[in-house]
Amino acid sequence: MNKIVLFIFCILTIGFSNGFAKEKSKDGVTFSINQINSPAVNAFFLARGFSMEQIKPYSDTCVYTTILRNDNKEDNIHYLRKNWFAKKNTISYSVKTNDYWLKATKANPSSWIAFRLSQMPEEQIYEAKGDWNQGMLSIDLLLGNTFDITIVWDTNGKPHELTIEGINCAK
Amino acid sequence: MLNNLYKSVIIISLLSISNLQASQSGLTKHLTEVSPQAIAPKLKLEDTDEELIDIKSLKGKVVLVNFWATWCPPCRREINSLERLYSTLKNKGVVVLAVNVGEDDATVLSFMNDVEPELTFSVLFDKDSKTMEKWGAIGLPSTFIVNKKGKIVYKAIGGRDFDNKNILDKIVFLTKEK
Repeated sequence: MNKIVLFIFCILTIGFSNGFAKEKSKDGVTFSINQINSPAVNAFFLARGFSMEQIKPYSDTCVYTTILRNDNKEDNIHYLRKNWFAKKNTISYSVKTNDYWLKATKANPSSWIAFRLSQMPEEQIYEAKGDWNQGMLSIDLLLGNTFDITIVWDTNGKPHELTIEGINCAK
Repeated sequence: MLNNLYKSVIIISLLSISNLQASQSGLTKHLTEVSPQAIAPKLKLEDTDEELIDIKSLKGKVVLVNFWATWCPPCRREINSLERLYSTLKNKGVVVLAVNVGEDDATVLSFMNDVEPELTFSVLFDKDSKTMEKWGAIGLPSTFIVNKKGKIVYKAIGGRDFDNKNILDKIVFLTKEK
């Protein structure tokens, strides 16, 4: 059991990454994104009670560990994850909702808790001076693609966005 | 097969150390003041000794409620600082309730056995995540500081360096309130 826990920790901490973490800051907000390869995604969720059949639709997408952080000195930020999007060749790809994945995976209640909490929250308010979250994000593109991702938030109703270009979804 | 998979993860983890720095966010040294202060929601859960802990019975103490999971990287990163905070302030009437969300006893106890130094604060089980939801926590880790009157006075979303002076001073101040 210890090995399994350490295994999961390694996956989430290091992201079983392709070694190309990208990070960008704008208007006091920092976003970083780092791919988690499919075997690692599968291993994580198999250890949380999913079957391979259940989790494959998710792990077949481009999955990343992401961090969003608000280092503004006074203003909180608010985001809706449904407003974030990936773009490849002028075509936009949305980030699928948790409800979509609940239906697609047919997860049992205990597995679903782990899935839901491991994702970047769908809506969140981060207070100033350092609130942040780390969570998984699935972009519904086939492995092997490169795309730009735009995250959107508002501060006191004023919209902001940040785009990281050239994100790889390695096979 | 698991052994081979495990070895692969460790090797790739070691190879990815440089990437680790880029993908980690620093532990924050700040708590957000809650205004207006609200009465803490119900929290009555079993701990690792199968004893029911009810936050209502802790009125008169300063209570730090931390929602976490063993698989959550920032939770693991902050947990040693939480232990140091508790060791420093437990004699001043500070209680730490680390509420594990969604995991079974064996997983949590196994993790606790591996943590050094040993965790001496209370670890509770919120297996269906209902308590976390009542507290309005959305992501892990989420932390709330409850004053002696049972009101939430500070909160934190994301990992914290709990034993830094800024946070310790705030909590010590709460212990001196009537």
